[in-house]
Amino acid sequence: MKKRLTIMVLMMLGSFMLAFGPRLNAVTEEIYAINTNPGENANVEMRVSWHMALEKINGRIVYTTKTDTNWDNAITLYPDSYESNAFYGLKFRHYQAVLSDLEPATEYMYQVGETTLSETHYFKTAGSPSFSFVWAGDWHTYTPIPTRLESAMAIVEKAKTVEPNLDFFLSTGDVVAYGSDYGDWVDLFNNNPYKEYMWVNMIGNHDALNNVVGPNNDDYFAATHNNPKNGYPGQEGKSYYFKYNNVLFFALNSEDLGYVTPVSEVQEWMASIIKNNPTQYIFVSLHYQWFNGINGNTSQYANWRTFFDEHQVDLALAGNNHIYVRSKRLFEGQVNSEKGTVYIQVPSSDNDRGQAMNDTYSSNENIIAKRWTEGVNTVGAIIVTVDEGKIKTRLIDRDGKIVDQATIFAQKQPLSIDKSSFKESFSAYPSIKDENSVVITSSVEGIGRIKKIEYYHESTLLGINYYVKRNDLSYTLNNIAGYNIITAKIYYNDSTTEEVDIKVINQDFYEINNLATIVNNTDLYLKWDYQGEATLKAWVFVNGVKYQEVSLSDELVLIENGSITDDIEIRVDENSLSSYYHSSYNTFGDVNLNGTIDAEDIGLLQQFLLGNNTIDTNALAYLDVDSDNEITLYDVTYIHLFINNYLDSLGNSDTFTITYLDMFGEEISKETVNRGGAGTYPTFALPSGYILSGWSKDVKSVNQDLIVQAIIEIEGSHHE
Amino acid sequence: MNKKYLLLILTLLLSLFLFGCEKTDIDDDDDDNPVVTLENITFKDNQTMFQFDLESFRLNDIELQLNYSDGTKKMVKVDKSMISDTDFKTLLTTGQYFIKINYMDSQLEALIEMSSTLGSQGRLSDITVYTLSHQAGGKTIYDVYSTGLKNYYSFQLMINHAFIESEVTLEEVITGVSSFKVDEDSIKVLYSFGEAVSGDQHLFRIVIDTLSDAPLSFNDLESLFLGFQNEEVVEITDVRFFLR
Repeated sequence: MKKRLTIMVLMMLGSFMLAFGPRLNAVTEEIYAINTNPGENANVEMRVSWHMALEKINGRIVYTTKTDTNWDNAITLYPDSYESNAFYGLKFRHYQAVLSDLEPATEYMYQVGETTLSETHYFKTAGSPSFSFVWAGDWHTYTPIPTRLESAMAIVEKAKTVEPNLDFFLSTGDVVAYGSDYGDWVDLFNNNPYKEYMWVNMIGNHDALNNVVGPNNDDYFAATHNNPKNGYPGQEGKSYYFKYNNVLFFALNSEDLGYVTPVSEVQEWMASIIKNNPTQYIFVSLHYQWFNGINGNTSQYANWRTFFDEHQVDLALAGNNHIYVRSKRLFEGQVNSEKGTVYIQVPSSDNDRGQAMNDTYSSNENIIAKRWTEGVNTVGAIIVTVDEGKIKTRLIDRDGKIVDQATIFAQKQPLSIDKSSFKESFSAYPSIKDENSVVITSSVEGIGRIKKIEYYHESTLLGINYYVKRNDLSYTLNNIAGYNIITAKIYYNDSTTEEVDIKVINQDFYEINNLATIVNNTDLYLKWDYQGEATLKAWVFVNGVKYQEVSLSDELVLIENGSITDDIEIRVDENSLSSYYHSSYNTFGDVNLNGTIDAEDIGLLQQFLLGNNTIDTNALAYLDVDSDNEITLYDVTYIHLFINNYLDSLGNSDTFTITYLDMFGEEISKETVNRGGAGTYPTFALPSGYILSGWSKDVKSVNQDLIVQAIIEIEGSHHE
Repeated sequence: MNKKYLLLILTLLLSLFLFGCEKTDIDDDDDDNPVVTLENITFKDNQTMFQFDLESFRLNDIELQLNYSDGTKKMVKVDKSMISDTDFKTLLTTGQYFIKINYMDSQLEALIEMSSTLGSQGRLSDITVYTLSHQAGGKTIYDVYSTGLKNYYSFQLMINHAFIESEVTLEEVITGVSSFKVDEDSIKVLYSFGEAVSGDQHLFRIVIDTLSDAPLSFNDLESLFLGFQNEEVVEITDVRFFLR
């Protein structure tokens, strides 16, 4: 009995050792599980994940461009790491490096380690006009059956022969048989495609499978990757999004989606991401299939079609089913040649766990364009190529033969931008957090339309804003006290560049009050009250054209040859493209333009109504108090009542609309004010991490419709 | 000595005074030239009830008949001085009512039945504009008044006239800012006050440099009274125009 027990214990130990063998071997290596994942803006950011022994706390990554063959310009980063115990019985240090400020469309190389460095790995940043990736999935790496991984790697290598200009790889999950088997991950990442390319991975059910102790766990995935930590709550690094050129990619965790977090909540999160990250294309990828490839029956398609329609998702990527399915372009459940989503699920690629399909459909035959499988021994992958006009998909078999292909024409035009308007949107405000810092703001219209903005003082580069997402519209430059002019160099997506000088606004500039355009003996003046720094100067613009520099303490300037129709502004600088203060002649009822409204004006206006005299055409606009497009006794009466103080202001019926926008350009509210009346800045809920530092325009005396935008400062650093 | 002279002077003055009070004889009984006296005043033809149309009624449509002791009669047209302001305003409304007319020491009471083809409200309009005319110094004078229940802040009056050959001038009476224009057949008057005008108001006077009975008339459609309510200038729509 005792002998039998001993044998049983030894057998169990043997089984344990077999299962965990690769993992135990792996921890004896200094560096392992190295792989590259996309940065949130893959044009300029990549993320690298690797493991080292716990005591290796000084891990580093050294990287440079691939052309820097001698590593002369290499940069060394010491990224954060943490002690991972995601895998049963195993602890290691997980390094997660974020390589920022990379050059778009550039090949990089890197090594990681502490004292000694790994072999060289590579990746390429986004930014080329066109890009391609190979998409494979469901190869279930399982060390006891090495052919699975071999088959998968073979097909992705084969894809390189079909499409030599590959930019990255993508898998829709189930890259390992059991997520809990650490050694399988290590084996996986030791393959050349992982060394040579960035990989977009997401969690399949097998990737979370636990065959050791305890329940399934998607932490296996998180502990072996370094994806952007921008997922919905609880899914940071597991569900995520990133922008690659003109595509917004979502990679979702199917093990959470619908099981833990309701699909509706995830879709709500996605909707906000889409709103904040305008791109030409949207790709959504997750593990579980859209359709059952065996018979065509609906699977995840039912949960997503409405959302995809609403948000103009172009390509839906899934796996799990092991049978290739490509739908026709679908919108509102119908085939549509111009808009909608193409749903594709990748075949398996391990030559081991494929499945056959029925010859006929049970359903959806009218909307599915193609099914393909090789049965149990299926090996296939998909090459996706994207440019401004279209998305091209090619399904290849193990021989590289194209089995199916489709062209999906863009349903949205490439994002365009009004460059002039964008340049005008720049402002530089003193930080309310730090007197030595300046906050540069610009229009949300730039998001997705420009590659980056470099900020200079003279020739010194102060910072780079990649303008990826909406909170990038506020960019803080630190330690620049005393700089009055910041030059923004804008790199547009169309490869053109433009520069704009931005005057840093002196806080006292906001001390201007009671700005008004007045007439005195037919001369037009701009006047104001000012209580700020006496030496502060600003520029007066008339009808958008710079007119004259003024000392704000003068509080008055004659507008020579001015007309009461002139739009007069005070800008911080002669090169400033946007104004904070607007004024125009606003004296309703001053018929004789002498600057005073009195009984004489009433008499003149009456004489005009009787046809006994004429009135300057421009002045007439300021006599139509009730805005009914004619001068009548009503207007006379209003003016007379105003003279006798029965009315606080004239133009009660002549109103203007102030549209208040939040920092992202989303409308907060509208306010209607009388001509010359004051608006009230609204209060609104700022998202966490933002500080309201002001508004883009003065609303103390409103003489025209205004769009006023909140100016925000990011509370913390907007760099990760 | 002085007292003696003073007494003499007083005596002389008293004598002169008493001489001035000498009685004269008056013969009141002159049968050859009998005195005619006013015996009573009645309405013309002893009429005591009158029916009028509100629009066309004129005060002088009512005539008093002065009956003298010698049997003669004299007709006197009623004017505004003979009736109270209250009764005058009553005559601007429809209905049946008594009006007192004062003439000399007499007071007559007339039962008036005032009707209107334009509809009767039985009350004074929000704004009632009326004119009274008289002739003096070789000129014809039209005084324009307003009364009513509501305030107004400005008005425009278009008055048609037929004094083609005459010189027409307008004299401001009420204080305000006014302008006017006299055309061949019309007078357009603009008034703005910048404050509320209410009650009985003498607005302005139209002076024609000739004696004429040519009529005036208001152009309702081109006349306008404006009020002020809730920060808005509004038209007062219940406005009536009368010539009295």
